Amino acid sequence: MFDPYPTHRTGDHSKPFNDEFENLFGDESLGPDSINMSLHGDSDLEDLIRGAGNYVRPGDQLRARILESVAHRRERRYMWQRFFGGFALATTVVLALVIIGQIGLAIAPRGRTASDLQRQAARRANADGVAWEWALTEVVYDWRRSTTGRLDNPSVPSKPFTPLSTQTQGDAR
Amino acid sequence: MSHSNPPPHAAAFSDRVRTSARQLAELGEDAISGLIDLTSLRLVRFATTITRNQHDAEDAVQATLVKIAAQPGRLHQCADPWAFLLQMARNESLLILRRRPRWNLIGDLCDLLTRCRVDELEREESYREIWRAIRTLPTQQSEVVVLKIWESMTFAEIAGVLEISPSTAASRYRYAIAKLNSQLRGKIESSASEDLQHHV
Repeated sequence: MFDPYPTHRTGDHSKPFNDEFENLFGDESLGPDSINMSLHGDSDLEDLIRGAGNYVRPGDQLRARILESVAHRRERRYMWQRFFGGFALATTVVLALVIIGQIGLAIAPRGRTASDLQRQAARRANADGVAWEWALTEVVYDWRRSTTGRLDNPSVPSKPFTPLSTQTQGDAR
Repeated sequence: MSHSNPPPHAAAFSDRVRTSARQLAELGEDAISGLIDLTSLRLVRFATTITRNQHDAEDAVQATLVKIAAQPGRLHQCADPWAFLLQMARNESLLILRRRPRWNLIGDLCDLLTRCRVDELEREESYREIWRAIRTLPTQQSEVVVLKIWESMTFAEIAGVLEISPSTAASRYRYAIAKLNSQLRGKIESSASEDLQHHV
């Protein structure tokens, strides 16, 4: 049965519409089209339509669905944040370890290498005017003697490597 | 060109949405339930006129509010949060409509979830007639009718939501009302006569 008493039939709702329409188009005859329509007569129709506005309602599950989607999205975002946070932390730690290791290797004292001995022998051969082989023999001999001295007296700290070219010729021998 | 201001109840609702958007921005996603309770009915009603299917409309509203919850600052920062929400719901509805077009029978309202109080049962048939008539309108016209009558928006506000000129909105509204008038004319006359008999 059709409703003879619409819910919101209060006041003249067409008045604001008429005012606004006149503001937009001026005289009604200058409207968008010459539709033969009585604006005042349409207030009943607008009231009818207004009354039907609350007839449709959202489903019972809509609210729960939205909240669940929001929570799911938040969980996923936290998971990605944890993943990227852990990845960034691990990368930082690895990089820090590599840098510290490199610095440690650069500044830590180390013994003589074969290259050091060969370079020292070359310098000694040039300085003393002897053969390179003989200079190398002397250098190795000096190195073994200093090593033996350190072993005999462990309280003497091991010195970092200093090229013999900075020492006097007598000290080197 | 001057436009009349929105009715007080429309402005009050807009203020409530603005307050809810501020709470959402301050409290985070947990405050989304307030916005859902406040706007879901109106958004579903508006989206249903675009998708012509309530299930699709609810999907659109869900997508809209989930996006808002993820970026609450967007809603809080805009000048008119309610118009922004309507615009988002419209865009989501159009996306869904493009993704999964449905064949709907014009007179079929079986997708609608309705409520009717016991004292309004006799009005149910008129409500169904109105919804059926609105569904016969082109979407461009029905969305203007919904925003104008159910959301009590001015043509300037409707133009902002639909991204058209106020004159176009008014024109579409006028065409729509003319069509609805012709479809529901008999109902209006019968209601008027019944109203008269009742008072006599």
